Amino acid sequence: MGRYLLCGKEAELPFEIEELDLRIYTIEELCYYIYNNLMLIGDDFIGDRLIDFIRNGLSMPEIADKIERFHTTASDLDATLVMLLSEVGYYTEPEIAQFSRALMKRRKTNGPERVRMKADGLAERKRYYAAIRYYRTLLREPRDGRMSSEFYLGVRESMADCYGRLCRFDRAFQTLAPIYEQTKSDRILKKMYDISVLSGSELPPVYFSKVPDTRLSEWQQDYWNRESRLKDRIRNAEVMQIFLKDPEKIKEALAGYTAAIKEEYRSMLE
Amino acid sequence: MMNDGKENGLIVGYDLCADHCRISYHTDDNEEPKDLVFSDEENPYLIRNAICKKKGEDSWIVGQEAYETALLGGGSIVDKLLRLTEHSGFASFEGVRYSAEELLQRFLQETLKVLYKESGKKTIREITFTVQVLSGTVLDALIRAMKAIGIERKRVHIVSHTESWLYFILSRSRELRSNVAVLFDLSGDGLNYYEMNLLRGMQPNIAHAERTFLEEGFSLDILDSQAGCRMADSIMTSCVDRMLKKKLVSSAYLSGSGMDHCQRWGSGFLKTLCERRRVFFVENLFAKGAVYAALDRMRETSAYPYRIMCEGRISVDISMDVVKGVRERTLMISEIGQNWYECKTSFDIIPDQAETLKLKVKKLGEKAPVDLEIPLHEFTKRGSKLTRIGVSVEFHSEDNFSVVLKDKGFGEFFPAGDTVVRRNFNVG
Repeated sequence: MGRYLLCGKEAELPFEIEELDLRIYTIEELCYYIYNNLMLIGDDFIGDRLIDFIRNGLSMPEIADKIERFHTTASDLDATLVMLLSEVGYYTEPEIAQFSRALMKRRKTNGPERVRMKADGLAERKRYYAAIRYYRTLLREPRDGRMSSEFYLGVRESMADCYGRLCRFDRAFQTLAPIYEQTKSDRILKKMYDISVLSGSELPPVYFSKVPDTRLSEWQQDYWNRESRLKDRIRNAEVMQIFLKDPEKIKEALAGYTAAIKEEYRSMLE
Repeated sequence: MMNDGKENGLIVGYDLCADHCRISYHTDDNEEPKDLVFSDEENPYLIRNAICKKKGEDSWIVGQEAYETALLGGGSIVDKLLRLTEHSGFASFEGVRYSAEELLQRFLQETLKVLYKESGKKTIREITFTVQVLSGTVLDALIRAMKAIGIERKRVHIVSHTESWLYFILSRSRELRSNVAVLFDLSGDGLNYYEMNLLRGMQPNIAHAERTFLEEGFSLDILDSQAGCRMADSIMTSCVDRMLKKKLVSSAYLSGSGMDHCQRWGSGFLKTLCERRRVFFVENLFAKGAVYAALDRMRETSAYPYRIMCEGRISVDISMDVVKGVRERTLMISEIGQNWYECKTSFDIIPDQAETLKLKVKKLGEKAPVDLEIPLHEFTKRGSKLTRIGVSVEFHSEDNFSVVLKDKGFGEFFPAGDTVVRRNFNVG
């Protein structure tokens, strides 16, 4: 049987998650963010800024006091998060139990794994520059003896994907090349092929001269197929239908997208 | 400055009828409401609803003087302002078109000037208008007009004549309302019978009043002739007989301009009415009742431990079962006895696996509520608990209300959609 959650107040001044360029206005949104972005939540998440937002922005002093007390005495981020979700009631008990399991899983991960999860989470939310920053940190810092070389190769590949999504094809190619050199993986070489085609540059002979023509034709066909499917999807997308009818909206959307990228780039440089 | 509502400001009851108005007021200095003396006419408390703009000047005259000025050619006049407002009409003075609302505002402003002058006070702490029929157009116009004059919305209230009568009688001593209390109001608007009784044995007890428009009502012009007076007396006698038959009446009241000289024309009906009953004639009864209503509203807790039920008040409880925090609770949207025009509620909900919005409507005396459901299928599907819906409930009369549901999205995670669902309900 369905139920209705009575919403709390909408804050006038939001709580900002700078890394995601995301603003949170309600306690329900805060719970949703915590529940779905666990990998992005660091030890500094619970602090004066959040407590002040809950107390004054959302006019929930009881919950703010409870978090403050709980966090000061126990200083346990995970327990504080569970307490917050339980108090608000946006999630049901089984959902909170699932969240607790995810927390336990997270607790078992080590430092580099956590950094990678955070970077992956940022990439998932299209915050590519921020993700690259974390990937780069992992690759620049001295290697953690507990981590395998596959882990670092995976990090490098994810970073290359981010570059690719930002249309920095040269950087993406340069990031993938060392992986191929080390692993001689066909999958990586195919990615390098795709990037070369996307960027419109010639295939560097140093990597592709020894690849048989039949294989190259296969890759080319696969590339075309994917391109054609993507074009169809874009054409059919509801949002595109709206855009085609309203050129002003295209301008607005593109301006917004560009502004977001610029903002993120600036924050990366700071 | 003029209407900043200082603590010792006036508490005003403003009776606004079709062709006249009356004002009573209360200050901290006087116990009982005082009636505003407006002119030295036959009935000094009565102000004709007429406004005249002086020729070639930006000055306005109201009441009987407006008619006189117009008759002498000193300006143009508009009367029956309430009716004009109800029809959202216009009037032109010297080539300039004025809306009825604007004229009403000027009229109110001029009458309040007289009030300030007589009372010696320049601020209004609370003003309650009382009108015979609560029409949405007139109520909105009154509220806007008062805002334009500079009186804050929170200081302005509007009640029906029935409610004014109820508050008036509640302010009297207990023995005058231990059984039924009745009122015959005879004015240019017709003959109306009001009855008030207390419904005991409920929690809280109910103070109930209702108005009956009596078809036998007559034009006050007939009182100018002897034959007419005889006819009026006989009509009123039969009305008293009919309406009070077998009723235990604790007190009977007479009001309205038609009753001003009832001792002169209504000896027969007064004899019938006064038989084993306490009868009172009260000048400005509705305006006084409005003052008592305003006074009661200003108290932290009502002086009258009753739930009020009458014209202008909602007759159903509307609620909704919601979850707040971890607890289930019932959210009261409207309660029996609330003024319908002040009953506007807005809140946000997030449906969790609910395909309809379910409201519970319960009439007085009914044990089980009736469910009213609004389907939510028009809203964009975004996954569980990811749509915040703005719910606005607004009454348009005692029995009619509308529910508007608006897709508010889910913050920046899911932007708001364009979907708006509106449903009207009649609970009469």
